[in-house]
Amino acid sequence: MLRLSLRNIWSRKGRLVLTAIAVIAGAAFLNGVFVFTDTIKGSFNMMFATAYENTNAIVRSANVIEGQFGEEARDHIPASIVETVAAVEGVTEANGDVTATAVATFEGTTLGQDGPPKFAGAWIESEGSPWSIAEGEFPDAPDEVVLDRASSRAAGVKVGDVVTVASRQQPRDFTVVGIATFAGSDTTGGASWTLFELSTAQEFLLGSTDLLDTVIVRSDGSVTDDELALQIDEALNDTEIETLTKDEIVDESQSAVAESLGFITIFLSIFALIAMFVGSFIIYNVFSISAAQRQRENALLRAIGASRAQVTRSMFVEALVVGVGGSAIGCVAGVGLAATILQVLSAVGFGPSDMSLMVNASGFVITLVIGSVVTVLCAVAPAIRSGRVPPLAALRDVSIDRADVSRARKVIGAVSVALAVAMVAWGLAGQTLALGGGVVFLFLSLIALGPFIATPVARAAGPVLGRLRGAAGTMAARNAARNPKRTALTAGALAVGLALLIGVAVLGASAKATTRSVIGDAFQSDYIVSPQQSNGGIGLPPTLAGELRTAGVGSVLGMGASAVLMEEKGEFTSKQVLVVDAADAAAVLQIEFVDGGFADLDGSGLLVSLDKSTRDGLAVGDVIETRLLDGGNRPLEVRGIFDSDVLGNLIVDRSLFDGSSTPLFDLGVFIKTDSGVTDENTAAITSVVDAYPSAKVQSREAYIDEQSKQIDGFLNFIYALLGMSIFIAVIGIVITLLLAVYERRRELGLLRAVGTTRRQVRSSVLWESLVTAVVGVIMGVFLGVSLGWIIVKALEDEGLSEFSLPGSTIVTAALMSLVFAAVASFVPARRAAKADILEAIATT
Amino acid sequence: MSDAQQVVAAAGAVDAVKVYGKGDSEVRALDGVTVDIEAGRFTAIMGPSGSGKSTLMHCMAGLDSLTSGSVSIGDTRLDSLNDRQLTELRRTDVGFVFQAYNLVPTLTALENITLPLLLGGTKGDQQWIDTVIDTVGLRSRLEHRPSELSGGQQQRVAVARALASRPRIIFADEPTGNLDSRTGAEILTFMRRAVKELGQTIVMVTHDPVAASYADRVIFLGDGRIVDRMDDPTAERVLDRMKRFGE
Repeated sequence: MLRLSLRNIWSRKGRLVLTAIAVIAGAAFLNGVFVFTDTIKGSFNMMFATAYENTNAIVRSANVIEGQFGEEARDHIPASIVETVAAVEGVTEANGDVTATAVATFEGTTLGQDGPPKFAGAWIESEGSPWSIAEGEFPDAPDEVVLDRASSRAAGVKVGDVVTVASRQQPRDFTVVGIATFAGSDTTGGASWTLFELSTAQEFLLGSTDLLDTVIVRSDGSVTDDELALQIDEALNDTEIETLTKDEIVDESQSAVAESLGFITIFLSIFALIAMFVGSFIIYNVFSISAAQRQRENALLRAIGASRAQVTRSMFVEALVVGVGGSAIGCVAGVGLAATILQVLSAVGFGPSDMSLMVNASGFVITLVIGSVVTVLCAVAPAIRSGRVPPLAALRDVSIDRADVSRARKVIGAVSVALAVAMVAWGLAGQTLALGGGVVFLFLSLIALGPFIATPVARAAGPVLGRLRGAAGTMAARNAARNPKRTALTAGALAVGLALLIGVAVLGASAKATTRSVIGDAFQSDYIVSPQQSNGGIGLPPTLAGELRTAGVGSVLGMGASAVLMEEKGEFTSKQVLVVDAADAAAVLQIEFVDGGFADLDGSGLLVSLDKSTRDGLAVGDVIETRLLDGGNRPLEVRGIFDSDVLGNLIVDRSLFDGSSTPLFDLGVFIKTDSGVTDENTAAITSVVDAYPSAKVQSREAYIDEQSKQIDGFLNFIYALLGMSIFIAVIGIVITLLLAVYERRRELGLLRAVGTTRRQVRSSVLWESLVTAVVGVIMGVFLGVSLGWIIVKALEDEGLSEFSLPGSTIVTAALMSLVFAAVASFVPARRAAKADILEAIATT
Repeated sequence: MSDAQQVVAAAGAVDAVKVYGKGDSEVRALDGVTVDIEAGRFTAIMGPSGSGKSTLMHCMAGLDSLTSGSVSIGDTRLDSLNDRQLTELRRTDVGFVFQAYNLVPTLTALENITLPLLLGGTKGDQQWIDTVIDTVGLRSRLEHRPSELSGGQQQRVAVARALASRPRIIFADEPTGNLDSRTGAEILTFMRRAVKELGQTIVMVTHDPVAASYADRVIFLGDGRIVDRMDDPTAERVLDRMKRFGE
């Protein structure tokens, strides 16, 4: 029997290859994600290992505040400890270092990619340094800088050019004296670097030559790294300073990367699993159709003595071969996919330049297991149905793939709809977990009720197509209505991909509408100055807002964000705070206050959102114990409660950080003039901002447009990830049509015999594909809009106040689906047009 | 025989040769057949299995091509036509009745009957179609799908379809092969009426002497050649002739 199943598989290899494509595509995506992230992780690990290769210990401050996204701010250390460390026994070298961020611009263009960090530090001329000069020389004067090779090359900067660098102070011009490589590589994972002579770095980046960020220690090898670290700690005798061994610092850096990549892996894997889910529709459909087409053969097997279990088992063997084979091919294809994407990424300057592919067995195993299990699960129902074929069916023409729709389906569909509605309602009422269940039931009802949508659509299409395309059109619609379950599943695969795409588009459109209304309502500014690169996370020097204020162009609000530690239930936890200039905030920010206001805010107070004050029972006059980066405590008194979702929960005044080492940048400077947008005002603002080449001036409208565009960029990224699902759905249309054409070959031959032209046959298949796609589009649009609405409603509390339907995106997506369906019909249509008349009318 | 030349030929073959396979496995299905099908008459083609009767019909109907020689329908030589022209010829000038699987399952009886007209994008002669429908007695079943019709009804629909476009010639390939004798007789009577009353030309391939007896003339084929002809056949005479094939 096993032999027979294997022979069956071989005799149907064309069909199997098609089925396998659905598995292969999903598996390739999944393993591609693993290889991709493993490779990036591997090259970062390698980079850190190399970077600290000749380092034995690192001394740094123990005071740290972790931000919302795992980024951390660490306090500085006094420069004087270098001498203490150097005097420790076994230490051959102790070099002070600075780790900061700074933006370099050359001829108006910001160096480095928009996204990765922009580091700045001190040049350490030592054997231990991972940096080496590739061109020119190292910096040894206050106006000299060395750049990394990747970003200088991308910007066309050469030795001898002058770049403007902005950090926390007013931007300054530096002459590029050298181009450096890091451990032989042009870039460190896409980050850009500006390196200065130590005292310049201290003064320019930290504000004082008495400060350092780290001391990098090399030993003569007479003591182990652990002993060395212990001895340094003893010599320093300061609880606010810690010493890490080389292994510790490498581990810490590597696990930080692993953590952030772990998030990316999960995020990307979700899309791979969605692709698999869409693929499962196709796999199930193919097995169902196969079972139906093979029922005579199976009945014959039963008639000559094969048991039910044997027939069922043979289907499972087939599924297992497709699942394992498809997943295995997919795994290999995934390696290729990852390699291609990595190559593209490093070509545009992201990621370490020398990457060797990391192919882990775990990725293969996970992909193989998921791919095989999904495939075999899809075969369960068709296999059981195959086994149930009565032996008599060999002699009679009974179909096991009944085209009619069962009552159970209606019941399941109705129950799913009811549960979906109930759970969504419950979820929106506050039980967020129920939302997930609601969405699951929503998709379940799509699967169950699909045929009830497919049938009327195909019926309605009949007369329309008949008028449009004559007999070919009529037959196309009738064929689509022939087996509504099949049509619905094929359409369902498309609908899932489309629904997610539309759901995301709705979310994006709503986010854009919210951005618009929020900026429109809350920000009364006429001009906005913001960083040229908006994704780097590095803002503008706070000096810019000060200069603009001095220039007298109106009310100037510099706005930044920082993390502080706040006492909550007896413990200090990291909190994100919005940093404003209280004096100018009231003029620029129009938000409603329940109590108090900006006028009451100063360095010893804070403003709390209505949400948080309700949650924590805070009122004006309450004091929250707060700790800054330097470890000092600042009790902050609640001075106001505001009702707005867009500014976070906590607002503090800039003066809170006076004298603290907290690195403060402005994410934007908002200017409200007395006379609005005039040439005069523009000129006055521009003349100040010109000295800050990393900043740009925009009108309010332009700024709002740019914010919207950022959302578009993210949406496009998600659309690309959903592309694989749509691709699989299109493959599904191809397979289903091919199988249908195979099934109808006699009928097609007959049609050709009585005078149907090849063109009419092709047209009929094309229109059948389009009718199927229309069913998918109807389901997908309905589901997608529902999904989007649910997400937007669920995020209402997070500030997503506007629900917006992206009409043009939905129409475009729907039209694209139809175009894809038309393309998908190409091969099946050709196959159908080639139907052999004589074979079809042969009596045997 | 001489008067046959005066009757207009609806279709014909000249030195028709059809060879399948090559070398040792070569089979000459048609080995130089020259025949004229007279218009307005009911012609039966008979012969034992493998005699080439189906091949002759397929080639004359433009479903298959000859190795050498020529076939024509009316004045049109089929070897000069491309696939599209052949398809159109089949749609307008030829009607078909096959042994089984005659109807498109998704279309109603009426749609099946008018299918060649629908394909050509024409309405056809409504009066004629009504006549055909009434003649085959299908008026009450027009909205039914083929799966809802009996075997005999399905064949009647097929005959009606063949007649609907008033083709120059109808080819019927064992039209009663799948029917019981009573239903078969009904179909044959009906085909005969179409010839006598409506002036239709019909060529029928059969191996059944009783079926052949409904024809005006029988052409006997053996080993790819015409071996005999018989006018105004009866079942007994045909059977006698057929018995001689075994000798």
